[in-house]
Amino acid sequence: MTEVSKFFFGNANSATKLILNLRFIRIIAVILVGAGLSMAGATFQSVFNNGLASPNILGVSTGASVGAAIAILNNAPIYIIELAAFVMGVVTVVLTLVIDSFLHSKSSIGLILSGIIMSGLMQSILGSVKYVADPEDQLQSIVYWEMGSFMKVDKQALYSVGPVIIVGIIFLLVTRWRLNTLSLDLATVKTIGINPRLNRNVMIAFATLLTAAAVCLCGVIGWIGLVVPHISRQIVGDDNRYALPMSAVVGSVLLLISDTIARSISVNDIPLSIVTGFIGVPIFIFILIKGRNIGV
Amino acid sequence: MFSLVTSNLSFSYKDSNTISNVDLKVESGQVLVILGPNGIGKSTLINCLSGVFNNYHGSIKLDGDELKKISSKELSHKLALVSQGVNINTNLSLFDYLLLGRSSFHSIFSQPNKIDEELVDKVIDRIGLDDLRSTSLQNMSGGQKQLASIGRALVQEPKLLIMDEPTSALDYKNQVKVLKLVKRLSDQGIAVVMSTHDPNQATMVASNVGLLMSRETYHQGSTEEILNDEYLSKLYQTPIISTFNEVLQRNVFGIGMG
Repeated sequence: MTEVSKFFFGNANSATKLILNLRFIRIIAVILVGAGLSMAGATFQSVFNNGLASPNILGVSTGASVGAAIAILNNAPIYIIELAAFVMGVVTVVLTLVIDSFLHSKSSIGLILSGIIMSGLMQSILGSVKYVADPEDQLQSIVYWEMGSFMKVDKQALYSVGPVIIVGIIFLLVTRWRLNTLSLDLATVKTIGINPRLNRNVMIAFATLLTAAAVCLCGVIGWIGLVVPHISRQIVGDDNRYALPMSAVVGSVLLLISDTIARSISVNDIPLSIVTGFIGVPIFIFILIKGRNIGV
Repeated sequence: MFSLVTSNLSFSYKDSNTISNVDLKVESGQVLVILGPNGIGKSTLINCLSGVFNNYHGSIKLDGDELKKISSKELSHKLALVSQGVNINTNLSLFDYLLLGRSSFHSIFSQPNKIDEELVDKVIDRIGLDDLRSTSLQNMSGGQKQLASIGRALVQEPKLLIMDEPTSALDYKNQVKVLKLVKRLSDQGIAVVMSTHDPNQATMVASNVGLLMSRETYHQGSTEEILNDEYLSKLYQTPIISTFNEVLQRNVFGIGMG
């Protein structure tokens, strides 16, 4: 432990540095991203009262990676990449909601459709960015971003993005009871004395912030934000006062397992989304078969 | 004495669902039943009275204060809306669902406390759902959900309860359960406004009845003076005939086939 603390203060010996650089930074990043994405997913699902809502399905992840890709294309520094990812994540969510409002859909299918539409658009933009990117280094970075990996996460990246994720996690943790209220219909929320629009937007902003920050650090990771909240609710029930902290724990553990598999299965790291897909899909099918009401 | 009084209340959507010139009054301990056919604007009226639509014209006075000018937090401590139970779509347990009625008593950063939890337990007892305290609303019947919805409203400790067709999706047994609860609440001094399309329910619980005859015409009066065959037949554009039932000791309304 003393070696670990020395490492953070910059005076560890080189062997410790090497091990910690390789492993410790990566583990911290995985825990933060796993918790962050899962809590963002749980938040989206509550706010939209829709069990299919997740950072990926709403288009946030793809939007954020478009932002990051455009910033990379312009050789921007890391904090600009972060900001661009966040801005594009927010833009995508807002557009998804705008399209949904035009659909006048009574069920939540409208929201899912809008998310698919926006994801499609963002995919195309991402494709265009890749097309014009410098194949030597930019393209590689963008592709890395698209598939998700912790391979390139270093101390500097963690120090710049980690605090943002921590702030997002803390905010959602302390406001988690309000999420229960927001899962009710608008008229009821209003007469309960809560401003539905303001509260929703704040929650969506923080969930988007978490997603965008996660995308900055390790690219797009599928399934975690969708599946983990469902697993957690199976364990502790639907009350977000318990489901949200549980999502953070389950998300961290699941992503740690996935990342361990991703880096040990072959000589090179395989992209993380491949692993989370193989783990997430069967779990999700199981949840659907068990007949859980996912609010669609 | 708490009161809700509207004068010249009008509301219009961009396309339809207009109501105009509604003069309505209800006080503590009274039950005002609003009758009207489907699509006449009962829900619009309910949404105006409960502050969901606050771009109405005319005035709605709660204890003398204009409803529009009351903050939503303060309003939630005065009145509560009971939405149609069948529409509740949540996996929360009954207890956690009722607890949400305390939301505006706390800031966004805080959690419910012991006092809130004790209050919720009392209300669960009051609505008679003690056995279902930890049952998910998803696994409840329509009637139980409706009682839960009333319970959530009661947790707000309102002086006025506004209910949008609380019995429309329920079988007779559950209708009676809800109506009995309404009666009990008004006996305890709560003012109740409820909409329905069944005049028989009005004779069971109402102290006053309001008829939403058309989008432009609203009549309110005591149950005896308003609930007659002529008014009701006109209201529903169907012959409605009442007979006095000796056993029930009240008028029962039957529908003719025209």
